[in-house]
Amino acid sequence: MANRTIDSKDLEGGIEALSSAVRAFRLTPFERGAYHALMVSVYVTTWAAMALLVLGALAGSEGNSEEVALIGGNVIVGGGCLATVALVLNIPLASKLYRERGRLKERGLASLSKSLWKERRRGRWISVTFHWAPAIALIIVLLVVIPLMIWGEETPGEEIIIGVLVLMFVVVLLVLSGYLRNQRQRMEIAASAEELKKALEGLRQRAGKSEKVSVPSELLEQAARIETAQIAKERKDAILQSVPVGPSGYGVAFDRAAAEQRRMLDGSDRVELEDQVAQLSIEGPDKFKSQAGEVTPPEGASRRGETKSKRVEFEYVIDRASRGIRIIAVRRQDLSHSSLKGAGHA
Amino acid sequence: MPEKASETEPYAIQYSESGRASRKELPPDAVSALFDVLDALAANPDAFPGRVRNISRDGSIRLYSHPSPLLQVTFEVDTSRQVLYLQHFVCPKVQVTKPVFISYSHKDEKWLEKLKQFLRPLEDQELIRVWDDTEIRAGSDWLGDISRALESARVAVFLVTQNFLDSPFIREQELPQLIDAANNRGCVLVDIYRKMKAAVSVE
Repeated sequence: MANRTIDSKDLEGGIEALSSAVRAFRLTPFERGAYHALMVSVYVTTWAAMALLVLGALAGSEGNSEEVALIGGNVIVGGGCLATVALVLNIPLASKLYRERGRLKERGLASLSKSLWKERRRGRWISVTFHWAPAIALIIVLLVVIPLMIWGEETPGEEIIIGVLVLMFVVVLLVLSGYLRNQRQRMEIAASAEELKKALEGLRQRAGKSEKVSVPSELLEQAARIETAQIAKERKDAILQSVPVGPSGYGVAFDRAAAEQRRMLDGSDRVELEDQVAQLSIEGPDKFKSQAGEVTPPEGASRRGETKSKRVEFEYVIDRASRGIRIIAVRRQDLSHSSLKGAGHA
Repeated sequence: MPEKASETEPYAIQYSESGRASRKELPPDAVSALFDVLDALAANPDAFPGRVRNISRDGSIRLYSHPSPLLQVTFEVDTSRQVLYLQHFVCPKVQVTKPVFISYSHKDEKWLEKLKQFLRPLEDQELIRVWDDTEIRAGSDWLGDISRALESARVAVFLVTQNFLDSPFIREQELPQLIDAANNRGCVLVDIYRKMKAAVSVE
């Protein structure tokens, strides 16, 4: 395995990223329990149904199907009952996922929720096959049996109808549990992140106070993949949360002269000014004004604001109709002349 | 924002709560790069065609990816109100993309541009991050910038021409460091030959 030499602070960054991923993807004990109960019961029911079909066919040819049907039927009924209970426990989560996907689709972002798991899906065909093969087999059986029942010459017996209903129920269970499969992927990512974090922490410990650390490339690539998934989740959540902000917030634009004045500010002043812009934009000018303690000026007149450290003062005009704020002047406060002079007015 | 004074920046900025919160998490060097990016986007949301990709089907929600420092900005463009909604900022802590260092002679700038154009699809897919000395900002410690780029390179592309072979800086600074990187930390060296009088492999 090839190694890469990285700065110890980059290693710290990797450990931090993995900690965030563990926090983001870890399920609550209730979610974990409900999901495991659902998957175990669904698999037991499905494979019992499959076994019953196969053994039923074999035993049926020898004219001795009752025992097989009884055992298989009991397993299916037991598993089905447990699966139903587990499914009910998972309803809040399923409905949350359904709403989330609906909102993403509405915004033309359907691919965003899928791309989250792209990395984890690679090489998972065995698991996918294991999950969907019985469902496909059962659907094929149903597609054969149901037309025979409807258009066949003989009236189907009660046990055949019950059997078909059970198979349909199993298919529904499989499809619904498939809908919740990203829970499993979340658990896998959280577990991998935890494991990788421990590995990187071990490397950090071994490196001691050395500024450079040699790390297997494979570990870093895995960490990067997990971080990508975590960032994608964070981004998706941010977009979904931002949807209702549009109509209520204010757009803040700088006049060119004010933009030029802004450009002259040093780093910390610019950060503080941007904090004020964010506050004005989210909370609106009225809340902002009351915090600054200024007397309400007449509508359309310019107002003044200042940054937290009071080093930068700015002047702005509100246009309520278009929910816009124009910043018309920005000035670094001269402590001896604290008032803003020469600013443009609306 | 239907009517704007002609002296106002074309697009207004509007933060979402998550935008404000995530901006506060950014490291200082990313914040400074971010402000340059935001200023440019407010002047023209299409200012970075190579670095912005559409996330939503209608193209209103976009993701800007800054090469160095690594920074991603998610924003929505509302063309009717002329507003940029800033939704999310993040600096990936683990390098996902492979940093690609392009070593070339300044006399071959037009070939550099062609090469970068060729590599752009890979950059768009976030598979690689191209670095060449045109990224050095005026007034910065250029030697330090080059040195850092050389240290982090996972792939080095040599645009080999006669000018390249004639450059003392490439011969004495870049080549030894990149060959060392190839020998000691698996940096991949790729050489592209162009109109050469003498072909010399660097590997």
